[in-house]
Amino acid sequence: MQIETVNLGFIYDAKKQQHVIKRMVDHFRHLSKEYKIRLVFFTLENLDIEEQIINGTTITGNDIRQEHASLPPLIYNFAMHYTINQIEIMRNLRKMNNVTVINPINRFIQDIIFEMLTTLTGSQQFLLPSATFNESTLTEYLNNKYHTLFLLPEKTFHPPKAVVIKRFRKNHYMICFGQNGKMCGKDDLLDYIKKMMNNKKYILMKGIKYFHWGEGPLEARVYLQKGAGGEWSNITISAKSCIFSKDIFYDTKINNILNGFITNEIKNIEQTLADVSLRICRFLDFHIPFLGSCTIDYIFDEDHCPHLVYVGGFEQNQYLYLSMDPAVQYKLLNNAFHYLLFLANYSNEKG
Amino acid sequence: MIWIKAQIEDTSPLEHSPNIIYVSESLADKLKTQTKLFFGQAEITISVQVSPAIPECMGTQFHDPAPIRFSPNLFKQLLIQESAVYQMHYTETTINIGPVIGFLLGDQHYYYHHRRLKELTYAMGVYEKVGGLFIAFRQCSISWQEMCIYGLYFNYGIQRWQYGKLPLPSVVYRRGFISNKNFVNKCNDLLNWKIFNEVRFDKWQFYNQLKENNILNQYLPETELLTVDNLSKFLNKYSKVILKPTKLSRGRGISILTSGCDGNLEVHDYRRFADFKITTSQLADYLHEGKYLQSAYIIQRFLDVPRINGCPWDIRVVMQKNRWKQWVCNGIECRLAGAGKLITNISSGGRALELNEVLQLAFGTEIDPIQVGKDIGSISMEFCKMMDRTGFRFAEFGLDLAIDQKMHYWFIEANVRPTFNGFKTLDDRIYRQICYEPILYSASIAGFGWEDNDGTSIQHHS
Repeated sequence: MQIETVNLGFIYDAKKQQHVIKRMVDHFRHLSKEYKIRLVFFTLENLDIEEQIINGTTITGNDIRQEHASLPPLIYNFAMHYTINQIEIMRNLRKMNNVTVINPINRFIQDIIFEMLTTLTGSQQFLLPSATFNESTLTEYLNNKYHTLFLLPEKTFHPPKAVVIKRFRKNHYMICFGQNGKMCGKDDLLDYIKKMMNNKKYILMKGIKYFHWGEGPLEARVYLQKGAGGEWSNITISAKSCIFSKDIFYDTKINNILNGFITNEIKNIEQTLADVSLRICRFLDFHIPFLGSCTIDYIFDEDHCPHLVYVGGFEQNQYLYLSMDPAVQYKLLNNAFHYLLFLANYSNEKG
Repeated sequence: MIWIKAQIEDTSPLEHSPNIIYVSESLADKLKTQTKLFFGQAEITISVQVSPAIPECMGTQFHDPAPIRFSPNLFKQLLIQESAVYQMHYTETTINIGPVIGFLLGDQHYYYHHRRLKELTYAMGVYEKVGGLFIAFRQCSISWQEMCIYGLYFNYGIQRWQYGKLPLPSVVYRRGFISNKNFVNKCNDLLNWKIFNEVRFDKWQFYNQLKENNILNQYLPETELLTVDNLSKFLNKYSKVILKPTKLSRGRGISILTSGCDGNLEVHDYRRFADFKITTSQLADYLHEGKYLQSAYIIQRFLDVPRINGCPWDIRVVMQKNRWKQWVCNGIECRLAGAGKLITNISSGGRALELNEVLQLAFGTEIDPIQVGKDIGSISMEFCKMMDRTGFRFAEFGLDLAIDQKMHYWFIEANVRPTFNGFKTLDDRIYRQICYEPILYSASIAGFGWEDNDGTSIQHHS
């Protein structure tokens, strides 16, 4: 068996990313040619970790082949891994001495992330009080503190969906999931929520009166990446409704949505989102090694202040990815490539 | 030495407040008004002032610490945590508050949280004896710009590891071996900390150390680096040999080859579900195909130890440095391989048994368990002393020994960062002692003591 040597590797998901892989390969062909670097695209299913051999798509300029290649020293993971087997392979891969994997995980346990962020100076500006959901936190939050609560999954393979619990009148609550609502008595509330959670873990978050867009709150997704200099930068900010709404809505630029409503503040809002998100990513670097991409979701209160609701790794939602401006898609790929190149040069310099 | 509780002095001005600690009148009598304060790596010149608002307390017991208030600026510089109870000792010119101990974590988890630090939480069972600030961190946690750690600290009040901006510790207990080897060297160069378990010797390096030792080399099974020639020589000499990767633990990567009467070799490969046979002429192909020659491997004679119900066993000895900075043997367990298995590791299906029980089952009354215990102790002690002579700081070893049919001791291998899972089921008291010992040792080398069992005084060994 002929085994080729490659410089950089990229992991993708053959099923979930089938619509983007062709574009990715096409784009990386140009980068390979320009930098005279051999690349390989592969899935975890086609990695033999014992043998450290990949059966993948190698890219050498315009020459694209399906062949065997040795495991490259630097790998960028675009995918999310679902099965126990995939997760185990990725765990072993990231622990290997001779390999660095950027974004080994692209979904995070949200209550751990939120807990980390509570120690970031000034985080109260964008972080709503939250706790792991259980009977006592629900009682505490409802009885003593808040009129409205958000319930969000601790971690999920799918785009997260929020549940909104609102005190309707004394001893009655409205439970909203997307645009659907149900009234529930205080005594039945816990059982109803537990049934809805289906044994999955959730975070309880203080609810706010949010800035409406259509039927639900307007959400912003900030895309951040490390690039050629190894530093975080803000790639784009898009508008969507997804976590709090039944239907997915998306717009490539948040300005397009905000324009009609709050013209004077647009620049401030964008700047705040970018600044806060950069601070979050730089801070997470102290707790989570080898991060290369982040998506950070916010909703806005009535004063247009953003509040964090979800942190993810590389964009996994193909609808959102494909809806992006092609230039932004390429920027995401370019940054992934250049960050690996930066790491390769850095380790070469260190000898 | 006294116990103290740090509080922030909220009446003094917030920004640019001078570096002052406020103490009770009786404590102020014992301290100089101008002195140097040490906390972790920090060293700050401070003033000591009496505050009538602070109640008199001698701080002789952990549960009754003397309150000390810090001016806000000083509190902020030190990154001192209010939840902790600290030890404080003082001289004519200095005040030392601590201990501040770090646990350098490895790559076991991608990111850490209280729920992923169970073993360390267990070790904090000894907190009331030493107090101080315990910080769990990893390589990426250090902010070189701010000279601090963004990691987890043990909040004694709620018995939980919490995230925080934390001071650089004075002593670091290395709990994992991260891939970037330069990191520990960089820290040693830039920070004035004492790190123990700073290097990891692999199996071949340990073998070469042991070979040079006149007392221990008699216990060494013949060992060579794996090559086709070396393996052929071993198979001509011994009927059974074992191939071990030099850098892996817990039975990973092991292969056992047995010469059969028919001239074939029976292979027990960790990667395969069932054993299989190869001819001697296929040996080189087997090694090439299995990538054995590409990784660093050693060959050892497979030791023929008396079996129990057909299963091999070995002895795991836990050697640790104690609070008096002496090596002690804190546990001996026997590990019996699972049915049909040749590897004894608990993680590979082995189970832990008491030494006496195993000796009885394997040798009957032919052997004196007390003498065996002594022999194991002296072999292990000699090993630790030998490792101390390398100049590296070690505080913990898991040593694997065996006794053959002729009651000869064999030194199989040593582990710098061993797991002690067998003791968890075997004897909780021993398991706790093993978890606590590095904490007491860390406090001791940080220059702090520990409270006696009756809680009446703090012992100090300098």
